Amino acid sequence: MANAASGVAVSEECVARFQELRAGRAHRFVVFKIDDSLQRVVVDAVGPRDAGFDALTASLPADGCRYAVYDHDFTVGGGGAQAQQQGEVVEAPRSKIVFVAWAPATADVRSKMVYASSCEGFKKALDGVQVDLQATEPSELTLDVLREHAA
Amino acid sequence: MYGGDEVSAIVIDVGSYSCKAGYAGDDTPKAVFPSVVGSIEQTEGTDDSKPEKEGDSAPDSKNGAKPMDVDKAKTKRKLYVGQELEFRRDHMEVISPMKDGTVTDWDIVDNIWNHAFRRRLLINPEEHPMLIAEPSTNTAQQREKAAELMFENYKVPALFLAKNAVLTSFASGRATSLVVDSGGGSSVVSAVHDGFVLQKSVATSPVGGDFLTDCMMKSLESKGVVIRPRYSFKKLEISPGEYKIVDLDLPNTTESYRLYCMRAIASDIKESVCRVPDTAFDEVAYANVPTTSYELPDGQTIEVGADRFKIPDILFNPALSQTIPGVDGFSDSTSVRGLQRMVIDSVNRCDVDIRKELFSNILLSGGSSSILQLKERLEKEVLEESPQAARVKVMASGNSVERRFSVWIGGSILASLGSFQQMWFSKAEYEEHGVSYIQRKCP
Ligand SMILES: Nc1ncnc2c1ncn2[C@@H]1O[C@H](COP(=O)(O)OP(=O)(O)OP(=O)(O)O)[C@@H](O)[C@H]1O
Ligand SMILES: [Mg+2]
Repeated sequence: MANAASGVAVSEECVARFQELRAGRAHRFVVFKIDDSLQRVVVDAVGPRDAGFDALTASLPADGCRYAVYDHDFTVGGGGAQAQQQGEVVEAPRSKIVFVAWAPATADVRSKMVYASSCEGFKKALDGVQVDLQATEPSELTLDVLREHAA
Repeated sequence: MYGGDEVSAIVIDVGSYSCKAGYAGDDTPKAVFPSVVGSIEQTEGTDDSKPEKEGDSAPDSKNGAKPMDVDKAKTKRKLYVGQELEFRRDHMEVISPMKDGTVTDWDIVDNIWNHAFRRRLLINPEEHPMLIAEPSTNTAQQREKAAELMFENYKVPALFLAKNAVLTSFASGRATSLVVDSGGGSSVVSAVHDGFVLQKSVATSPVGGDFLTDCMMKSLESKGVVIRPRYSFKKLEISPGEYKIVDLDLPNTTESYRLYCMRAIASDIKESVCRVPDTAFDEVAYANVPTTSYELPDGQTIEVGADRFKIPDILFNPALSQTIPGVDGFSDSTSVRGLQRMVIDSVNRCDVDIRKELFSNILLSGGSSSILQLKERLEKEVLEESPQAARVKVMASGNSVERRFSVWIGGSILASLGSFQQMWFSKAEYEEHGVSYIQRKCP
């Protein structure tokens, strides 16, 4: 438990949608928010399998905090010239689940505090997150940044 | 679980320079007053301290808040807290409850808490949960001491101890960051990861705002400026609009009180004129910079030139202070590093995996973070010394109130959350599990 954790609860729906994304690969991403009474984390939006990272960033408010998970597909191998000479051109698909904590500088201090102090507890409730991404402005939440973190 | 969420909690941050106290849910602390107190030793029967104005002071061990340090209580002294310090009194010494960021005199802290609760916030501590902000460097023993005082002497219904760096990090929206808190008595750099302070990363230095104030004062004195404390003179109108300063003879004023009053002036000079230079300070290059004028309380106008830049540069180059006549040397100069060095060292003590994240989330907080150009200079210096791949970003809230009070504000929001009510260390838990349970409840 973090030093000053908020005690905000996690709704069952969050865990259910996350499991669908992780085990069932049913969604590309899920966006979560803390409800208006500041008591529970709830599901805000779900991105279909064919949605991209752009669709995720587009569903985050410019001046409000959110959490999200994103199923990031990428490939390894197949690149290097040496590998090609030796005929090893097989590209192996990989995927990693990225947790995004979105807290834009323009959000008010109250919601920044609530989201940051609830983050660790929420992440624990979602079992299986592999990469962490914390972003406070759009430039910190691009496909390049994502690739770099997932590498 | 503490069930009383209908009364608001109280949030208190006793720093080495000032105490900030107020109601949870408020935007800013209602009470902000000095963390030092006046003290007059009481020799039996005689109470010739003769306040210039009747204060609302309480002698030690009154007001239901018995000091825990019995040995301290034996040397009878009368303490003056808050505004009472503004009035000069014969033989009144100015003393601090802290040294190097940690409490060394609990009796004084007790008096400060008491003053905050009963005189400033006008609350009965038995009715309000208390959130106390504490430095990252607090030991388990000190945390238990604080908890014991709160439950035994103030009979609070519930308590929470939150770490300064974590509150600042959360208030900026980050569960992971590198917090640079440049306050009064010290500068502290702490890495926060997923809401935990990484203890091995904590770097502290005695070079904080109060040291800069001292340097400013000594430097001005070395140039012949006489800073007259407000209590030490009277302004006489000799003809309409024309004044004469008459020095008062107050032989029983203590040296510590005189210094306290002079520092208050030097601190205001510092806050009004200083600006961090873009690159390391250079005596020759700054010899002819334009000066800024400042009017002292006695009406003298002084011109501050190179010191405007030199004083704040001491944060980056502490050794620079040793060129100012009269400034004390550091007792252990090897541990005194510039802010940029502390940042690099602190990051390097953390796991390789999170270093990049820390470099790009450096948060400036504390009163001294308001010095102009501090953020820009720190970013530049850290960039020069950090690994190439790191994207260095130093942030400070654009709002000076949020910068100075980030710790208190974070605590205020946290303690006002409905969900937080289950997180308190309650009186019942204290009675059942004992004081050491605080380590479990407030990790
Ligand atoms: N605008 C300003 N410019 C420069 N310094 C400032 C400014 N405002 C406040 N300070 C300095 O900030 C210091 C106090 O900071 P702060 O209130 O954060 O300290 P604190 O929390 O009491 O102490 P600490 O956390 O170090 O124990 C003082 O030295 C004061 O002179
Ligand atoms: Mg402080």
